[in-house]
Amino acid sequence: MSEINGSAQSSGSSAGIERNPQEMRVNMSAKDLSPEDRKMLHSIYWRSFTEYCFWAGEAEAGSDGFIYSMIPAFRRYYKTEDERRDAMMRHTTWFNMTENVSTFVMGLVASMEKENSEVEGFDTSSIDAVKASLMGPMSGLGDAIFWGVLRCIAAAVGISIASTGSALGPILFLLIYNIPSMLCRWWMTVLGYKLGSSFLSKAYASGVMRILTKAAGILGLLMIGAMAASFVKFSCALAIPVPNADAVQIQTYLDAIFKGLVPFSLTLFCMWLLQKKVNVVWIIIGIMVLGLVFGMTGVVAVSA
Amino acid sequence: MIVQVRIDDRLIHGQVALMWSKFLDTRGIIVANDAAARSEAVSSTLKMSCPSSQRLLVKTVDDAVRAINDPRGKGMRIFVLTNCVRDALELVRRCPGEISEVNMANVGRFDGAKANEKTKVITGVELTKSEVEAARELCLTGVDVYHQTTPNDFKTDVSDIIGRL
Amino acid sequence: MLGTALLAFLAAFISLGGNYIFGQCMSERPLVAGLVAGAIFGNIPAGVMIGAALEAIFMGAVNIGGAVTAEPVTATTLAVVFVVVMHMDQGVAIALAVPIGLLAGLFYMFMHLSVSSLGAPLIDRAAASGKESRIKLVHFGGWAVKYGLCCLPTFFGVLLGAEPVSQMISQIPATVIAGFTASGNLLPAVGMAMLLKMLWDKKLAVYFLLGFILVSYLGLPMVGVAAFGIVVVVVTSLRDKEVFDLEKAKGTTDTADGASPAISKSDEEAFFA
Repeated sequence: MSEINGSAQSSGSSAGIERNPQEMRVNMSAKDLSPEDRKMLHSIYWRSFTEYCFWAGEAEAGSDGFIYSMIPAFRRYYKTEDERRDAMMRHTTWFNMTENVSTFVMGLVASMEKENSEVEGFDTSSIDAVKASLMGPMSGLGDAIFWGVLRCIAAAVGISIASTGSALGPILFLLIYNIPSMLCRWWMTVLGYKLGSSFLSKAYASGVMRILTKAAGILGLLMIGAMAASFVKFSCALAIPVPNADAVQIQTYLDAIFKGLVPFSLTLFCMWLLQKKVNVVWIIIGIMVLGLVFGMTGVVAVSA
Repeated sequence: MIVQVRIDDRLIHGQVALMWSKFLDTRGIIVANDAAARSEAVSSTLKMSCPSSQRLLVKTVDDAVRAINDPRGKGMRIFVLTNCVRDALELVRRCPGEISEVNMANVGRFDGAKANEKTKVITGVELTKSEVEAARELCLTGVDVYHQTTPNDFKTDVSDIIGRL
Repeated sequence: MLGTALLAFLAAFISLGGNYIFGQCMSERPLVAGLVAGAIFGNIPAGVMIGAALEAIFMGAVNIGGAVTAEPVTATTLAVVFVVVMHMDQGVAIALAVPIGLLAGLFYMFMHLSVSSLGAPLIDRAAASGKESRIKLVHFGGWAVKYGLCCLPTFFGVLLGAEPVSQMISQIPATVIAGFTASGNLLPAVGMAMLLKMLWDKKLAVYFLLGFILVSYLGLPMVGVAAFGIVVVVVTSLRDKEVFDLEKAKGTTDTADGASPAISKSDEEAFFA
């Protein structure tokens, strides 16, 4: 188990956590970096879009994308082919992170490779150690915020507009998701390069991360509720005949109890089944059969 | 009480954080890892990715042994994380009676060793020679040793495979 | 049919392959796949509507943690082809797309694991050569091969499925069509349930109810719900921050946040409390 030694400390983790929340006001602009720095970061940024386009199997995962993205840094800091080859081989290790935050590690590794090229006797295992330790936690946050919440919001808006047949739906979906995603990707690149891992300690100490995660949970659940109400459709066509009066529509009664009672309960029921480890394929088959029966027997009113 | 010791080379990450804590209904997570406990950067990132419903301790293996044996933890459902088999073995040996199952979820994916120096026990679990020895001894301690990446996956018993290595 | 099959392959490749070249921009989701397929086959509204319906159903099918549940691009592209080219009823196509998506998911998982495992030795050799051109070859060449293979089910789905499908279409009675459409209306519950399970938290569960009410009783459009959500989140987060700062000042933060990890006794007290 490789230890994170002194060399890693110099790349940024401070001796003590700053408790002053003012420290959180970080400068995310790249304007105070040199033009060569900026050019390199830009290059890493654009290359990172292809991170997972191939995948070196379960053994090395996104290493090919990582190497490809880091080539600008290798080119810049290592002048001999031997050094570049060493750098490439160093990064054939397993790598898998939420793509839009992975550039933080890329920026950070770039700054560490720079140090490696300048300092004699720099322990390169610290680069591996930092990569390995940051991958997990940052992906946890990244997955929750991007795959969980942002995607939900974008999809909810997209689906509701697209259901009317408008191409604006998918376009809005792509915009709502990708604009924050691309911005985050850039900021992460700059932050990783400029601030190193001490940024994370400070962020954590100010409590911002936990608050963010909870906020993501709230917003996500809210959107899923809204989506369940809009996209799960059930409209009962049955009526109980009443002598000498109009037939009583069952749907009216259902609505009186709670509007959207069936979609709401059905969604929660499916979730409960999933929590009880029922295989999702069975649930899908079950719902399909249920729907078929309802539709064929006329229990449900279906508009064309 | 320790509900599971999980060996995961990524310690806390997306899956572990969300799914397992809910599935196992735990109140707290103990990360037993020397490097993580000693590094500011790594402990902070671990704490960041820990779900808000869970309490967290990031300890060296020695301190973790103490925490696991602590009587205050008897009534509390706790999930323990390590990143290598050796550490898990330490915990099982030094906390007699506290641990009944070890989940070898992901091991050895980036310890820097070459692929041909490692033995693959099952997908995601690749052990170097010293890890294989530790694994054998772990199976001999009598705890349940299995492999289950996410709660939805099958639980595969690996003690046979390790016994044959 | 060969022409249609090739076009379908192209549509699938643009969505699926394009997704990974453009930074996982979500073009592999049904919403976008529907747009692409609709555009290629000349009926954008239909493509987009099918995409929307399938997105709701496949919302929970994301590959976090390596397990692939379904492959929505094949499902969406085939559904669009069936509806636009072969005039299948939309409800039927949507219902059929679900099992297609599941089967395609199995194929995709197989590709992902087996073909890509050839990648490790290739990338090792490329890195050992130190040549950027070889890295590029593995990275992009591998991409083309992998996603080309993954789009084959779409290609064969059209080529081989066209005959049986068009025969089936002419024979489906109206009641069955109604049944399939009803299925398609209920299936999003599964997609939502999968998502719900991922984010579920007993303390925050009430927000699921709130979101539901905002739509079913107040009829708010999605953007409205999102805006409302942002307001709620900002308010609760500001208050959480105040509470956090107060607790830190008093020194009583319990859970995962708080004091330097060096103080072992007090954080253990907080842990076991």
